[in-house]
Amino acid sequence: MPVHNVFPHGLATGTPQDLLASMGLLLPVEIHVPQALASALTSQGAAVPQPITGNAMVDTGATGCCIEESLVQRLGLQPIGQVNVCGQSGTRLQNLYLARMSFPGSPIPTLELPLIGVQMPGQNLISLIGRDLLRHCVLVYNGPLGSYTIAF
Amino acid sequence: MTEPKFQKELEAFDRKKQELLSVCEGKFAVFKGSDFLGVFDTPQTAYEAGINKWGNVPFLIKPVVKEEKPHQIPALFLGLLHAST
Repeated sequence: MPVHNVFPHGLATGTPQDLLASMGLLLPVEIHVPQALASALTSQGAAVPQPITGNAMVDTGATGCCIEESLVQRLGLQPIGQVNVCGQSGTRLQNLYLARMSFPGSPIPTLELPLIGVQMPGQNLISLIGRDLLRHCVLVYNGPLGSYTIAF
Repeated sequence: MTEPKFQKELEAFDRKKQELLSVCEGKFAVFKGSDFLGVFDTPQTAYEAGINKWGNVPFLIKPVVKEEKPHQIPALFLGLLHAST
């Protein structure tokens, strides 16, 4: 089981413990078009959109993985469905997309899975990692060390 | 606010739902309009079939389940993702 230890970084000052507490469980991620779409575009002689890169946050409270909806257009993705998501005042309808997620600098394998399109303005995040992916992982939060470990 | 999509596809799924549940519960059915492409083991194989049939256009990949439970993303929808800042 590949093991990936993460020490948060990105703030000018702070102990590892402070950084982890402040920033949460961030993981660099690349979001690509699905393999089937990439193959279809290639066979047509069309360019495959470049992946979107940024940070994902591991959210153990989320039932599904999410993608920032405003970025979906850059990948040329079309929805494959819609799902209800519980909100403050009832359920909300959100688009569902299929995409590939890769995790640069880590031994976590590239995964192709449905992603819920959500709006995360001002969060500096492109994705949330929810329990549909975490069900395949062992996750350890080490507060005293200021790191977390994810084994897939 | 996300506009509802896939009305025709959902109606087509509802018409076939009992039949699909009896033979392939847990798999993934693919619809475009009222056209039914078939049932597949995973969302990925369903997507590949849809892309090969129709190209990169919206089509519905529907889990064949009795009831789909709503997702929960409480930290996001309650504005608590960065509650400490």
